[in-house]
Amino acid sequence: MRTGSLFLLARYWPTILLVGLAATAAPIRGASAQSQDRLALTQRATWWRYPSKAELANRTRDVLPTIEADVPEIEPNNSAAAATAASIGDRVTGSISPVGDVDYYVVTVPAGTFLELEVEASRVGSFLDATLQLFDRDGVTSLEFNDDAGSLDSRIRFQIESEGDYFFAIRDLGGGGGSSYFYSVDISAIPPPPGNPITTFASGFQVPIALAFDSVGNLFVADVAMGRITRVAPDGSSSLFQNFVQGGDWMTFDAFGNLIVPSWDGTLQIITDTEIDTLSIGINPGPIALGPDGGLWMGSWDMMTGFPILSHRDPYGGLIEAFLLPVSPAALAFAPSGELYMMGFDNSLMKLSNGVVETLVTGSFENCCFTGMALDEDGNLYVANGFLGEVSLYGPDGTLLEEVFAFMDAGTPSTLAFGRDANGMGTARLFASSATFGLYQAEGRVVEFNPAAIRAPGHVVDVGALLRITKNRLRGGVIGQEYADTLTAADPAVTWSIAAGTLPPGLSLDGVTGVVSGVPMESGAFRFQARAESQSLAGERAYELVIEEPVLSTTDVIDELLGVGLLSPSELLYLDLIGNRNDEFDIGDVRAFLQRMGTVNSPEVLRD
Amino acid sequence: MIDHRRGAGTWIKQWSSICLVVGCGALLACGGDPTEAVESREFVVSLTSPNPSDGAILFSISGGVIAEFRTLATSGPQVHFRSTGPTTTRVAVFGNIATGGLVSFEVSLGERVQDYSAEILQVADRDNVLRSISGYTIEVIEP
Repeated sequence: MRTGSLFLLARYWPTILLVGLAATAAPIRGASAQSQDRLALTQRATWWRYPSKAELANRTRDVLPTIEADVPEIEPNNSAAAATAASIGDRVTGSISPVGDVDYYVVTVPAGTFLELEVEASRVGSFLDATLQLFDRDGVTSLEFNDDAGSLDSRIRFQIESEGDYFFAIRDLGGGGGSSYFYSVDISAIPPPPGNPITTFASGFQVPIALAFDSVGNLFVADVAMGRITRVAPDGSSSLFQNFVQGGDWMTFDAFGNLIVPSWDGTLQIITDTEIDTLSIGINPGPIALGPDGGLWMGSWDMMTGFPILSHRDPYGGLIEAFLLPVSPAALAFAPSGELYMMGFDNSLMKLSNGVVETLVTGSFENCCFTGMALDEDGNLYVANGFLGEVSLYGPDGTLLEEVFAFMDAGTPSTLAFGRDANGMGTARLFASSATFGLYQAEGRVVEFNPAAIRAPGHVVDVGALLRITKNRLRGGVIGQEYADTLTAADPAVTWSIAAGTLPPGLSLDGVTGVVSGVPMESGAFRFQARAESQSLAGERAYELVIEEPVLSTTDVIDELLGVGLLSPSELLYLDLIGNRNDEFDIGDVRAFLQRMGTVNSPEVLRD
Repeated sequence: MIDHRRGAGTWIKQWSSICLVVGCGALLACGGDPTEAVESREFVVSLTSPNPSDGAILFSISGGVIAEFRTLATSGPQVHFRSTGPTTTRVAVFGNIATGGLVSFEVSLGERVQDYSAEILQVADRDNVLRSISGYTIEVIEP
């Protein structure tokens, strides 16, 4: 791992928590019949997990650069002061012996060099589980640390800014040592990948994860360690946007310009300059993206089964439909084609096209661990790998275009985001949140990749202006009882219609007044999308209207049948609606009621 | 010494006493004083249905006060009843109802079956659809 497990813990802790919660959770509520059908076409869930040491040990090694000479270590080289001298192009060899040994080397590096240090030990049978640390010219200041890099063996790639003698140290992760703890380290100057050099755009964070640009080019950075969101102006100046934010692994701007931050407690935090509002959505949300329809798309888990799901919600968070996914998504992003690209926790790439999930890159531990994704206007996918400290570039169909588009000079890339200009247009500037973990603290920053290497400006989902529907929820109704409630919008001069779904039988929508009224005839939770249109704007909002059955006792119903009852007209209507619907209350209705109560076949004689 | 003959006679007497006591107890258990006359009898409400698969019937009985009913319907009978007048009772029966005895009730010995009458009010099939009561007959009979 590039900088220790703290990073992955920080990035994936909601996942770890949610997986734990999933076993005790509730089912997906109110998915449409269509989506329930999709859910029925269940693919078995594949859970992301971190590869074990044993799995890492079995990986094949990468192709190593040509090495000119072997340089054996010269013990004692247990400090920077006693470091064994080596040069770029050398392969230093040695062993971590005795137990607890640490070997230092010093290398003269020209300015601008992309230095690579690659350990070979475990892959060739050594007992050594190496860690590698690169120090600045003072031999003390840590520049980079790595444990594993695709195997138990370590690798550091680092962009050297200033010429000088740099130090690196190798030791065993567990503090072991002995003659079986042999190793070699190849010291190379490698060609810089196109996305390098990397520059620091904003700093002063601890663990920045989620990034989002607003419509005037400000960058918002969620720091999960500090629980705050910082606004970074286009000139790089920073200011506090909001404190006390839960979560921060993902966020997006909604169709109304609010910053939406999912929280592990089953809510969406709707954040503005002045307040944090919360919306309970009944699931534990994960990655989130704004859709072309103005709706919110988010990954989560089915609370009952634990299966990963993708939910499509209206701009206000109301559920429209849900899709079962083969794997939990770790990032979502819409492409110019309107297709939703998803990065899986198993290091896969998928896309949702016409309601069907297609796998573009199969999940693999070899790819571990994808941490962020951004799409440009050509549909290319820039994928961050926090484990390797690299960014890869994929084509729209999942073809790998650049295995190493860029590597981090320090820290781990997590979220990737394309910048936006003052008009909200996507720019060819790609940013990543990054944290470097020390033993007791982390330093975070936002970096920018070489803009000359960006193939196209970032894709921005532009939904335009939406008519805001202000009615949050419709009150519930009861079968047989007169019902009325009114839909409202920011502009009162609108016409109303049902865009999808159906009202409860017996209710209708007045297209002019927005009044939903009638006498409900069936119980249940009825989902529909109301559409409001003014002369210039339109908007839709999902509603769930719950119709309940009145609470009646068998005695009351039988008394009514036997001629001494006191049921209300609405209760009699309810009984007829669940019975034979002949507009009269009769013994057929009572028999239907007894059937509902499960007592129609209970032998008994009762004096009422 | 044991007097076997005496012993045998004693056993015979004892068994006679035991049988007498048990016999009286059995008679008492079966209704008390065996010399007491029966004071009630049973009338049956009998239905003739033109349809198969009736699921529920509502009827009224006039003629006297009815304290209790027994079910006779073929399966799953559930009976609800309530007095709706001094000598009128409304009865609802739910179950697999068919032609034949529907319910029975006790009357005192002095009551006559011809004093009782029944009237069908509603019939529903097993899909809860109300049926026409045309063709149905219901009567109170003495079995």
